[in-house]
Amino acid sequence: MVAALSSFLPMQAHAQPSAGVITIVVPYAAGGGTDAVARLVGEKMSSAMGRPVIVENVVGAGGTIANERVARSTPDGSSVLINHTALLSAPSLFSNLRYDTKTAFEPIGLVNIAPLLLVGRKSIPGSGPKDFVAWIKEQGPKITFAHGGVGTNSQLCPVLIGNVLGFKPVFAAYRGSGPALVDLIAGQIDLLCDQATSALPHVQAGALHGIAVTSKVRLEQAPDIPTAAEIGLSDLVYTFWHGLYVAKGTPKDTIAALNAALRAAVSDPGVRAKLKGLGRTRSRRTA
Amino acid sequence: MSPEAHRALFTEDLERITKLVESSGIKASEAK
Repeated sequence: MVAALSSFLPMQAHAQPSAGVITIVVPYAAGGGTDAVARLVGEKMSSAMGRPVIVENVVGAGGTIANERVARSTPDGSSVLINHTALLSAPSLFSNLRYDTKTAFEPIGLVNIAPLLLVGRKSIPGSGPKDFVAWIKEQGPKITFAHGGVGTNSQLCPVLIGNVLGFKPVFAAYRGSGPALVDLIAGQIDLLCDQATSALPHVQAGALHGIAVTSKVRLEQAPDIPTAAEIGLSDLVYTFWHGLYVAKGTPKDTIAALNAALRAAVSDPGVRAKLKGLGRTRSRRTA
Repeated sequence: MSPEAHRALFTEDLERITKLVESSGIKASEAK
């Protein structure tokens, strides 16, 4: 599915009419976490540059269609990819990529860095996170983790949990974390690692257990959920980030302009507040 | 974050994620 779903027409757009439209290519469906981040910064980048910015969702093949779109685009800064860990896992999963992940892109900068939230079905026995982790250790491969796509954060985080606890996790595959959350709430699967933006509301509503956050510090918006280290999983630190990329060969001054616009966007108080709501943490050190 | 710092983080995490995927036994055929 390829669809241009929104545009942000800045007040200053008329000042540079020849500069053209910038397209932020999102490898995932509208309404998801990455899409939300793209729209949030896209609007502010548009204002900063005085150029229209549109968001285009190019989904499929684990995000590699979108990756390729930008990798093979004209290197003029008009096509910008936003992606996260899946950009890095793709070369290990897909043998037929038509771009070289190591060399095809010019990084623009990071949008946000965030941990994941380990959540569990309400019927997991125990009275708190330490009990739940003891149950996970005891059950090992008997339990089922949901994931929202092969090679995504929601699969790699349980892999790390398995490495820490000494078992190989068993997965139930879903098309995105939304359907996985539905089955988790229904008690049909046991656990899910997910972005706070989608999982936390269900914890706060009492539909799921919030077991741990995979960062070194607790999330401001979820102060009652312990870090993994606090419940004995000190080696479980997993953060992911959203970054912006353009095609290799894009002029340095264009990259610098996009970086400046991105910095302006993520420095905006409104954007900062919304990114915090998406689980943003301040730095890689604290993440 | 500067583009250069992003490049360094990208390179570092590419190695980290590659190792994690390879240790996981996740098969390419599972990817859709």
